[in-house]
Amino acid sequence: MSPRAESPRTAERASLREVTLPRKAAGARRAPIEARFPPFESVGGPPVAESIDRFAALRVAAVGAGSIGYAEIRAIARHQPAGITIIDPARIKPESLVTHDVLADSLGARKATLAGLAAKRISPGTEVFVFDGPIQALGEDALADIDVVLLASDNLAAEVHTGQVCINLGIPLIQASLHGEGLVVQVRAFENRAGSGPCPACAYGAAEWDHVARESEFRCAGAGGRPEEIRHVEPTVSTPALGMNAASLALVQLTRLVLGLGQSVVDTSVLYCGVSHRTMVWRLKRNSDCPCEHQRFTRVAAPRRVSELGIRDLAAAAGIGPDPLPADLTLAVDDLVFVEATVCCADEPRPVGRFFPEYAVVGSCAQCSATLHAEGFFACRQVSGRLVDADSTLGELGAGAARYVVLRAGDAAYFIH
Amino acid sequence: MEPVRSIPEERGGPKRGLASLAEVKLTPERAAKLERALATNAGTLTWRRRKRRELEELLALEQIAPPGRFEVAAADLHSDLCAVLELGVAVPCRAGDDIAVVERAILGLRYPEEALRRPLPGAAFFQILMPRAVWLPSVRWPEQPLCLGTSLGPAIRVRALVLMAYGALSMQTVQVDETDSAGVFNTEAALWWQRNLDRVPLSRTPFLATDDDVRKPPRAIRRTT
Repeated sequence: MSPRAESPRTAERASLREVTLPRKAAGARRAPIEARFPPFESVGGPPVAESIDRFAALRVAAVGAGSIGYAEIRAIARHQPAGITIIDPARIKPESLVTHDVLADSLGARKATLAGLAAKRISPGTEVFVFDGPIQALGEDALADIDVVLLASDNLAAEVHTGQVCINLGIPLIQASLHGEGLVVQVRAFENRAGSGPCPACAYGAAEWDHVARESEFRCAGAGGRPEEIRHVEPTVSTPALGMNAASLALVQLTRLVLGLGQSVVDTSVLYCGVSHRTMVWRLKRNSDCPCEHQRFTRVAAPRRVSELGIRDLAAAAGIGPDPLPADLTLAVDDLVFVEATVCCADEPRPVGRFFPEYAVVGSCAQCSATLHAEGFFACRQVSGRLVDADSTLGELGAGAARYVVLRAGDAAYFIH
Repeated sequence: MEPVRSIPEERGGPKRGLASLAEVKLTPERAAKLERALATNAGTLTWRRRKRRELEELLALEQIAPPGRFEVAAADLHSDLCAVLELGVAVPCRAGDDIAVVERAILGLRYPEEALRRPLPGAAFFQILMPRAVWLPSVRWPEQPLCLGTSLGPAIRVRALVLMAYGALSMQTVQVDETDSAGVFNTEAALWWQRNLDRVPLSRTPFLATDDDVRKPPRAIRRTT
């Protein structure tokens, strides 16, 4: 066995891209928001200047830039927040013109990029980042600096994943959805202050989980056996007004959340049905059978780059080490897998003990020269601390490009980055 | 359709079937094996409970299975649900231009927590540790991951995975179409099995039956003759 020193796929890892405007557009003046901002003091809100400051400090992520998300992004940009991060894997199709607030010259454009450009034009001072791929491809650190997430995806797997990340990182989540033929819009707000609260998947029944199962299939044609995921997402059937209505309602809830207006919106659902012309509001409840990990991570600032830390340093940073290390300590390093050993011609597995991108080349068999990959029984995302060399840094163990680590011990979990 | 055969009741109490796995009272040896694994069971409460339930069912499956069919050789619940499983099953292995059928396989099972909430690829759970040179369209050389389909849904039960693995290894379920859009792991093996479909399946014995059970005429037929 001859393990490689560094992961070969490091450069390919999914990451956010900052949106910039051409020089002429970049010089556009900031709109005078104070001229139009309502004085919420009369309803118990902060003074106008403070309200504007709260939005100016806000970092928002939008997962989904479709019929609802695109309208949400344009609206939140008008609040001139500090940052907007937009994530969507899809492109504008001809039928998108029916439901999205976009023009025909946008056909074929990536939705996230298109929405990012629109947001940047509306609020040039806002830092705008986009990712033209599924949120599942991003590491959890992509949302680490976000204050609130707006979720408007037609993909249940993305919904589950976003809910999971928001629980783990303690980020409030506002989810907008609609039901076309019922003229129904619904906005759910999840506080996520503690992991014990509800998440989007808490409301799933057998039909929704069956839908999640049917959304994805994997083809084994990828390089090195890497499965290629094919997503079958049912398109949103709606009128444009309904999408904008859902987006507007979500932004109203966001405004209430940020400025603390009226009754608390956290862990509530508001639903408007156009057919019955009724509005309903109710509290969201945690489902004790929900398969999501209802645990909020304690955030820990790494004293150095995580790749320069060893397992004892990480435990010390989290306040659970370094000596003795908890017996049940486990760690997940970025999106890497830990390869404990490989199996090929030899009777016994050959030890490796290093981190690799999943399916990356680990080395070759000393006997038959077959190329061996980071997969299988001896490769895992979350590795027991007892399997990791405590005297080496993560960088020395192959995780030189690691951006974050999740450490777990007992009932606690720590997000170190 | 073949009549359903009754299954002997002497092993594991009066009821014997997948539906009643939760009711099987484990033997003291298996209960001790479970307790040893539970000593390192870690994670959130939901995940710990799930790992416990799955391992209990695996041990119950071991208990009700015919002798030599299935054994949980080792289990670790530290992070993922990990187990080394021994299966008494016919497995085709490459031997020159032909195959040799081996009657035993050792599988590494890794069931991560994320499998509870998202579909995973069919090859995400099992690696065939022994024998080597397994000659199946659903097994890729050299790592030998075992592919059980294009997608395995969220929260799939481990007992279902074990039965699927048994069916795949004995070729009771097989996909040899190399042009299928889902693809095959071993195209050469798929083409070889297309030419040798008369040898498929390698065994018709169901997981919870013995070869003798299969050879006996079904009771319903015995009564009418």
